[in-house]
Amino acid sequence: MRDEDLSTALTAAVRGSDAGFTTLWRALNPAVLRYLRVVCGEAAEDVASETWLQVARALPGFTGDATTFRVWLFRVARHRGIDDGRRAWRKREQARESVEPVDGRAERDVLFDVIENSGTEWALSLIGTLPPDQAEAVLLRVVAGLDAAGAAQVLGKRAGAVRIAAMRGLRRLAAHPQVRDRRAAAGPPRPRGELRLEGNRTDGRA
Amino acid sequence: MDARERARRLLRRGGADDTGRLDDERAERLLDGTATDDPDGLAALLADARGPARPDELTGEAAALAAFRHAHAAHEPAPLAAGEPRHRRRLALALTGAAAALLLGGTAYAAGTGRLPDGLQRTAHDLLSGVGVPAPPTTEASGTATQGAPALTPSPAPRASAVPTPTPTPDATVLIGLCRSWAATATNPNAKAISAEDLRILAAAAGGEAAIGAYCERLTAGPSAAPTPPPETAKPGNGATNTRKPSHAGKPDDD
Repeated sequence: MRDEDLSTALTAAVRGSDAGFTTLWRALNPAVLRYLRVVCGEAAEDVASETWLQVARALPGFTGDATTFRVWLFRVARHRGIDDGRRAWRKREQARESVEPVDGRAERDVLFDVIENSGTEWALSLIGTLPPDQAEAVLLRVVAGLDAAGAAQVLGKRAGAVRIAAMRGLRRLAAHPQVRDRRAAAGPPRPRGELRLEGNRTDGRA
Repeated sequence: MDARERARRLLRRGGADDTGRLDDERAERLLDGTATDDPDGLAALLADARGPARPDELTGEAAALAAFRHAHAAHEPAPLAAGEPRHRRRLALALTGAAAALLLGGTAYAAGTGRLPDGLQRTAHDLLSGVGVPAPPTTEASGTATQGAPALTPSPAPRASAVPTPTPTPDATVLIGLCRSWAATATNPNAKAISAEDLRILAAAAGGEAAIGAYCERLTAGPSAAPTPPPETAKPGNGATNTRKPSHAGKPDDD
């Protein structure tokens, strides 16, 4: 949902309108959840609930536009997610370093292995394989609908740093085997080796 | 596991291939969702990531809305769209009564079940700070219940360690406590949100998150909080995750 559409709902919600709040929630809860799954894994739903509770409580005093609200919402989510998922987060970092899977992240690996699932879940699970800073940057841009400046506010970084992280994330994703496989399989059937990859040099699958 | 490791290795290579075309401009378009071409499959991937809401992403609306209503009911300066001062007053009264009752029965469920000492601490804390009811003198038990309960420490709110008294229905008391915690969460900007575990328990008892509001209303309508045996203190380890600051990220008006 665009910020212009959200702002009406936001104004209403700040005044106490149920409908306004409901609109905000429906528009943004999926994004919050998707973002939180990467931040804190299986705690996402609980953290999302807590996030909305906190936001609901403070909403009567909210001033700002829809973009500000978005930034605020995701910042609340992030902080709560980090608090709740601190341990999981650390585990995840360790998992990246080591070859052996670290328990507790198993569910992520399961998602990861579902190759043929090419929907939202698939996309999110792939983004979830990125290093956290890259995954967050990508998700805040793509899923949360923030621009680089907004994402930077959520992350407490400079916009330039967020841009770089997002770019690195995209590059990794582009090189991901599942993305390639899907690229090869997707769209109107094209002759092998003639994917729309003009610059393609080393794609052994094509 | 093989797939993962294979992927990881490939990922380490980063943008070795396929990504020569990914410059800043294209990256921006991809991230904005305005890319018109998709040579590398990224546009499709990201479109999937921002795909339409799934049903499982839209559960919990009722609980969020209930919290929102409570917040607005308690927010004095905000003009109420369909103002119901009576309703507000009733809520305040209910919460005040709840606070008093809690002081009597506060430790009941901690002792009764031993499962949720942490939630009890919070219940008491949230409730008291939320309603602003001065805590009646509970000199006796204050040492026991607060010890090892970090959840209470961040707040200057009155200690809510209650006078231990016997209760016949610990489980009901637990739930009443949780209900109050749930309500306080919605009314007090500085109250800690009810923990996920508490919420689950409450939802289970109510028959779903959506039913919590009605359930709690029913539950707390009756004569509340009964007395109980010895105050079991919170498990120290359990409270550690609950010491997060009340609203470090929640400044609404910092635009």
